[in-house]
Amino acid sequence: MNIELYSLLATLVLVATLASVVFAFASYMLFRIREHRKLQRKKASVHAPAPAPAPTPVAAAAPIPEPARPRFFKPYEPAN
Amino acid sequence: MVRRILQGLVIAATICFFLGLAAAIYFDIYLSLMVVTDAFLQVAGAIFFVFLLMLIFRYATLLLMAFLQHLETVGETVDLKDYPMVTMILPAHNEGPVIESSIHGAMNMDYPAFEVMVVDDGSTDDTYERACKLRQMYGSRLTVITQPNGGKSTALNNGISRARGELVLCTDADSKLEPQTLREAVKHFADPEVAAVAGNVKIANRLNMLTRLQALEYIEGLNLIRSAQALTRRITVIPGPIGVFRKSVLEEMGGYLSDTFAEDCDLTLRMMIAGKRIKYEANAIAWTEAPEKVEALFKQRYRWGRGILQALMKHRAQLWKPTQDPIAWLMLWNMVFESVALVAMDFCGIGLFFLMALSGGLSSLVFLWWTELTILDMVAAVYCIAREKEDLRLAFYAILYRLFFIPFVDGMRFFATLDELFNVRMGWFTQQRMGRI
Repeated sequence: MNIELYSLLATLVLVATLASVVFAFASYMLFRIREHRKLQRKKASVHAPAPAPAPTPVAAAAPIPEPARPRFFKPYEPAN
Repeated sequence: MVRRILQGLVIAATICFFLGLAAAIYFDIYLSLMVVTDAFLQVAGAIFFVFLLMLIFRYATLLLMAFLQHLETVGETVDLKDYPMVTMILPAHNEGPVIESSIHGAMNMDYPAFEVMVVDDGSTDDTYERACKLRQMYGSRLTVITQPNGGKSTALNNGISRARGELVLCTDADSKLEPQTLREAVKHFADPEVAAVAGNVKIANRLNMLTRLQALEYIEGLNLIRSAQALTRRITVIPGPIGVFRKSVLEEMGGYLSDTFAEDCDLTLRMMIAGKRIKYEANAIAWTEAPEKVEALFKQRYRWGRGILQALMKHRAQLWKPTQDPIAWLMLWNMVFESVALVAMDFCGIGLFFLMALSGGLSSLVFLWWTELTILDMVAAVYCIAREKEDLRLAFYAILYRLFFIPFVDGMRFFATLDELFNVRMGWFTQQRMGRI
């Protein structure tokens, strides 16, 4: 294999690696922006007054299963 | 028999061929570095060389340990005299599209004594209703309970505290278990020393390039590591989709805790530190749904990355106690290596790639480095695929795996590490289910 072919293949590897890292960075930035917007929306909804619940006829209401309360274990205590 | 021997010989020859090629490339890299006279390039080349040696050592050790673990289990025939009762717990939060399939899969176990418990963790979709409908079909063997949304840990703890079984199988509602899973996993509990058994997770939705690469990663990366660790009976992560535990051990450990984003890793580390023995069963198989889009994959890996770091930070004191259990101590350091050092090495390697290629004209080394690592990936892939009787075509994805997937996943882990260090706020991201299983 001559040097030119090595260089070409090396360039391909470099470009692919760099593209993947840049793509990961772009995904991260996009993720952070979305998280930030979500947080802003949540904050805005906390300050807005909650709408009054619409009355529902008793007869139409579906039977609501009684939720089973979670049982918790004793707190973990390391042996040492 | 003859066919199996021939298959073994072909696989051994393939692995030997690849290893020979890797050795030749390694020697070529060594020769290239010998002729360098520039001081900077000599230092960079030395770092490059050490990184490569460490990676080769990592692969060789993992493959050897996994092979020994395989040999250990090949002739293992445990005849169960009695079948302990097993409770299978399926925590579910908004798993409507997959919950029925998961329940059918769990109910289809080839095992005489088990019950299935679905714990609906305050779903806002029809998960609870769909699960309840199946109660008519399965009767008392299926229990469905609901609780206010409290997270996966509380749902699992809720199920564990109500479990009637001596053994508890924890799984995810997006996973489907193979019928032999319980029988294969339970046989290990004939040894009273064994506290838990980690199963084999496989990707069910191999529909596009991204999920096929993840399928290869699960087989070649995660399962290989787990199999190698099982030789020492100290596994660092019992995967969420399939883990079988003694109920008494779970109670002793205080169940799952919700102070990290990787509750399965945290529980396993607590068990390992407490001296509990954990085995791996390759035939206890859970098929799971992998993220099909980059955004979903990012969220999953981001959570895993930060969760594992949180669990490691929580147990960091153990890193300085080598005498308590030297093997567990080594496993913890190996976890630090895999989750932090390996990522840093990859990034340093990439940086050195550029510097050496641009300033020193050593671009051939870049290609040799990549080829060497791809060959190591292929060796590991061929071995794991042969062992698990998987699709051989996946081995060819090792090229794309090293070229695109590893830098991308390492990038995600790098950002997750940074965010964890700077304590950036994060939430629990729910993966949208496509109902593929």
